[in-house]
Amino acid sequence: MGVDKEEVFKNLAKCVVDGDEEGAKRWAEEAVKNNIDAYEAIMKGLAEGMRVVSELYEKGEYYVPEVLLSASAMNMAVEILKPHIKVDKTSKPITVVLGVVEGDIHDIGKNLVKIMLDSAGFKVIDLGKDVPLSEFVKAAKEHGAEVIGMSALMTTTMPGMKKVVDLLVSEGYRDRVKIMIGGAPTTMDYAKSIGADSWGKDASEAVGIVRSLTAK
Amino acid sequence: MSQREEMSSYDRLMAAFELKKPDRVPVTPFVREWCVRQAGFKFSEVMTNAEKYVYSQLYSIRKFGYDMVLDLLAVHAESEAMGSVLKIPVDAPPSVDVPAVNDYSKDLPKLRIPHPRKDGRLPLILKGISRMKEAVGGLIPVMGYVQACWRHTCMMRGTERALLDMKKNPDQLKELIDIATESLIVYAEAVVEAGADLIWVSDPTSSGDMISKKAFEEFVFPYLRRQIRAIKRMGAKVFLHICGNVNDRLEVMANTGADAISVDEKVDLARAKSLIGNRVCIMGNISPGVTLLQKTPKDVEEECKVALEKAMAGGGFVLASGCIVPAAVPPENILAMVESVKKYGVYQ
Repeated sequence: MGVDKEEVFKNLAKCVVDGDEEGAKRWAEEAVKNNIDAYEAIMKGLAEGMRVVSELYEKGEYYVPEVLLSASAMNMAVEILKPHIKVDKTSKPITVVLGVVEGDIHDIGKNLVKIMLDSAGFKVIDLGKDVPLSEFVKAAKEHGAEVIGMSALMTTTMPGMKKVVDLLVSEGYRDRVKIMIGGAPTTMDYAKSIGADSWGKDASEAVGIVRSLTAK
Repeated sequence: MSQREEMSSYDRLMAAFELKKPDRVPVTPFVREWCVRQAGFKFSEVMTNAEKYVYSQLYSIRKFGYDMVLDLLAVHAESEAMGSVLKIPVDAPPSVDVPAVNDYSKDLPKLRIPHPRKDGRLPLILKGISRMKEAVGGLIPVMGYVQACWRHTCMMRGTERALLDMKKNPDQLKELIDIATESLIVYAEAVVEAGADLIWVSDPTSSGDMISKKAFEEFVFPYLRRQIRAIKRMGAKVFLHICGNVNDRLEVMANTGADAISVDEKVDLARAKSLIGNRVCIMGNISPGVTLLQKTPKDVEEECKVALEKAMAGGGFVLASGCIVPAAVPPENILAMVESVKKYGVYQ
């Protein structure tokens, strides 16, 4: 058939950037119909779109509602493409355990980070919000995660992040995992003071941070 | 305290809100769970016992000498009274567990304006305000808290869904904001009647970290102005607090008609002062999570000194924390904040 796959990727990306859910579904179906590799369509189309969204968010052109709409368009297309991914991936993807610390239910920032990491091909274990602190450690061990990402949006719940770091140290697991933190009241200074490895200003930095933390 | 203070806390704060110069800059750390801990209670206890909450406020202000008592603020009581279900931890403030509005077509028609003297936790909060007024009325200003209409909306709908509704269901969202606004005006009237001298209207979901200025102007501003103007007509002062980066919307915030605009450390006080300081009082912006929580009294003093230098000139400034003070903040840091205005915040 005469459908150029680059054209499909471009349109998938554009639909994600525009938050065009119907368009994203239509182009995902087009990809399936034309036997375009589903994994490639996700990575070169949808993920590329999310990369642009992340850039626009960082530049202050997009805000949370725009990012959520883009993610929604992306997810709808992923649902269509997912059953067609050829499962022959033998290499284990880098795994990130993610969650909002105990007492804090502000999970939008964390969800944005998940969206960005998912779309960049990382495996995300999402513990959700108001996560008991020991769960971070448990999940990291269970899934052999390379990175733990924690967030807090309240000055009152921030101290929980330090407790997780301390917990990892006391269990002798601190060297096995990298820690990144984020959330409005946090800073790089704070990250350093609690013994975390990295800090992200917002979700747009998440992919870069995980890459640099896990670079061999 | 080398100098005798001339004004009561009440007169001092009111003067600052009216853009005048008091004897010294008023100082108002936003202390809620911090006081609860100072008094030796758990947060869940004060959620059901107004007397304990009031005691924690009176105990702390007498011991630390700042300039405002605060009601049991920001516990989503307005949203709870309209059907949102709260989760209440033992020793931390509550959060919304199940929002009231899931399906717009089914749930919107069911919403009722709560009766402030009957519904949910509202009577308990009103009782607390009256008790504080009896105890310190006229000498120390009593702050009553009323959520901003957009925050109330988010607490009834779920923040993430409300944000997405801006794109996908704008008309239904606006209907919900309208109901939220109406209900808050009714509640605010009861708060003022109970004795609040000033109302804190707080809107964290309106910051530039969340929504664009354009979305703020379309979805929030018209309703927020309606809410704030209504409260002012009841005779109370109003301060509007939006956390985070609001640098692009300071003027819009001032246009709501609030007497004071309260900001956190993402806003430069000198800039805020020069931009809107001629028409609203500025409140801010000592960092609660970094400076108050983690630094020494010396660091606190230094940050307060800088804030005062930037914004106290000519009056119309209140030294406040950038947001709510965590329970774990060392008492000596609150003391350092209070002492700093006596040292550096006196008007000649």
